[in-house]
Amino acid sequence: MKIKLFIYLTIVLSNAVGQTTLSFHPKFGANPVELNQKITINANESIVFETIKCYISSLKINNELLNNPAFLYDLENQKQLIIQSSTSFNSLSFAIGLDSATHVSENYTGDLDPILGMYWAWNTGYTHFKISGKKIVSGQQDQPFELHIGGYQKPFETQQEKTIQSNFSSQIKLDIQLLPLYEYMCKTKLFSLLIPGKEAKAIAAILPSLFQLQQSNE
Amino acid sequence: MLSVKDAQNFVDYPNYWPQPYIDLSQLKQQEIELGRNLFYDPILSEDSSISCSSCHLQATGFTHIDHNVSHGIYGRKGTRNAPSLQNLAWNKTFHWDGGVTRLSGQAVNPITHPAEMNFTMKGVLKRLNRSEKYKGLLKDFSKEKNYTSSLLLHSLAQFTASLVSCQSKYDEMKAGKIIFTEQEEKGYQLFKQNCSACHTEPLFMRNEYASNGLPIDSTLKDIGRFSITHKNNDSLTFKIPSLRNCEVTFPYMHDGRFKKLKEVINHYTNESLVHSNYLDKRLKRSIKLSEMDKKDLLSFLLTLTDRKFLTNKQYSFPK
Ligand code: HEC
Ligand code: HEC
Repeated sequence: MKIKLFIYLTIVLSNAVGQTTLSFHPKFGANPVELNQKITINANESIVFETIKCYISSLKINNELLNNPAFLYDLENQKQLIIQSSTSFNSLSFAIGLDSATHVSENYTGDLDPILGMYWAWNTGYTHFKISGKKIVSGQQDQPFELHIGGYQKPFETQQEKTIQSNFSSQIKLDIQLLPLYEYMCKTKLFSLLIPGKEAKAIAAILPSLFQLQQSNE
Repeated sequence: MLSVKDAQNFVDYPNYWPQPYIDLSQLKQQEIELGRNLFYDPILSEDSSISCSSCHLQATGFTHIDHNVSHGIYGRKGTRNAPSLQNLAWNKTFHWDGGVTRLSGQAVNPITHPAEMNFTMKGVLKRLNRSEKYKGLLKDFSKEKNYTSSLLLHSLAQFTASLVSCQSKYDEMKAGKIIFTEQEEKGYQLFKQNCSACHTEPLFMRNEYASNGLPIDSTLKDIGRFSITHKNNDSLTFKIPSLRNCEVTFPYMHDGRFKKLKEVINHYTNESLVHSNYLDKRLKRSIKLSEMDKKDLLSFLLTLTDRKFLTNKQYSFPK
């Protein structure tokens, strides 16, 4: 009996506060991306992802800034981002990466903990978006790739903003479509990028387009 | 346990010094102590062989003795000379290229660097949380139940920020307690004419990057500050280091290319210096010193040695 009451109360309370969950789903074309799983691109080309990590911060609903702490999406250790709000909303914005104050906040707790592997020790601050893996073409040597996209100092700041308008449900699913990023790497032959600078800034500019509301959502 | 007020005394410095970037009155005695234990403990390296003090030895101003570039785990060589650790609270940036802007974040670098301690933050925390010694040290903290990155990094930073050198002969002269010998006084004047535009009193450093005309090392090919800012003007510039305790912080320069202060002085007085590319404009006027002048300048540099700092038990291996 007690358990039932508890469940009942939790439902009532959570509805009163209004909880929306935001989850991220990396995709490669139509394929969902799984850690270390080969994805076939065509008869002789495939791809494997070993890391996908990304900071999501400065969350806004209906243009109002929420006070969620920085959130790290990690393919290897997936969790959901919880949004508390009492009203429904039709505009969601977030930053891909962290703002400059957070980089130097010396707050090493939560998702900003350097054990999560996003802290850049030789160049104070965090990587915003990290991706690694390999491109496999039959008859050729594997092409490893590793992009650490970051930098917050002018003129090479890389934090990006994304806004999505929709009649959001209480479970928002966002795809992270990696195909354009792969095409960018192949076109520019930029398979390794570990420092802030011009290249990082250019590639960061395409990041917002990767985040898309999942079709089945609506 | 000492109070915060005592901690203030612990890191006292002369009134006329500029404001530090790190508020030393906020340092907490128990964090300094924990940081000190960690600093001297090889537990931070993968095979438990290397501690911070392996490369930062107190007797040599917390720099790496006798190695041009530092040696880390498994004898692997780094690419830069370990700088002295002193008066860090007055540093706006850290490392020769100024890439590190927060002292607390700096330690992630040696812990995880393959040529230094080659370990992971996770690995270190796991070890600390299992260690009887460190469980014991945690009892001094009311809030912390476990070792966290935050506690590890902030306590190391508090210890290194507490390393203040301000009791050299030069400081005693400034305080009016002693007077310089004639030779030291002559050297002091030469220093003011030729060196203090960059090695500025009272800290004998500036929070700036400059090229002092060293030819680029053809194997290390270190481009200095440029690697951080990607600005052409920053090519081959390095942080202007403090000359405090320079008697013992040899070898000198970012790659440790000079073993003796005499060689350093000869570098600055070499006629060919003015022709080097990228040379800072403060050195464009050639420095002419007689052999006598050089001796005087050297005798002044030796007044910057702070024996009390180099032997201060509060900074030494914790017993
Ligand atoms: C293998 C040798 C080595 C070890 C071990 C080592 N360091 Fe260093 N340290 C260096 C070198 C080399 C630099 C300069 C790096 C650069 O400029 O790129 C440095 C720079 C620093 C600086 C910046 C000083 C300044 O003025 O810019 C601090 C602070 C520091 N180390 C603290 C530590 C701490 C704390 C530890 C232990 C966790 C440690 N070091 C372990 C070699 C080492
Ligand atoms: C233009 C600014 C400038 C002037 C003027 C200058 N220096 Fe330097 N000094 C530097 C810089 C920059 C470095 C570090 C260079 C490097 O490692 O590449 C340095 C390094 C040194 C070092 C090595 C310190 C260490 O810990 O490795 C000594 C000693 C030194 N200078 C002494 C002098 C003396 C003596 C004079 C005057 C004759 C002088 N400097 C004038 C900029 C200057």
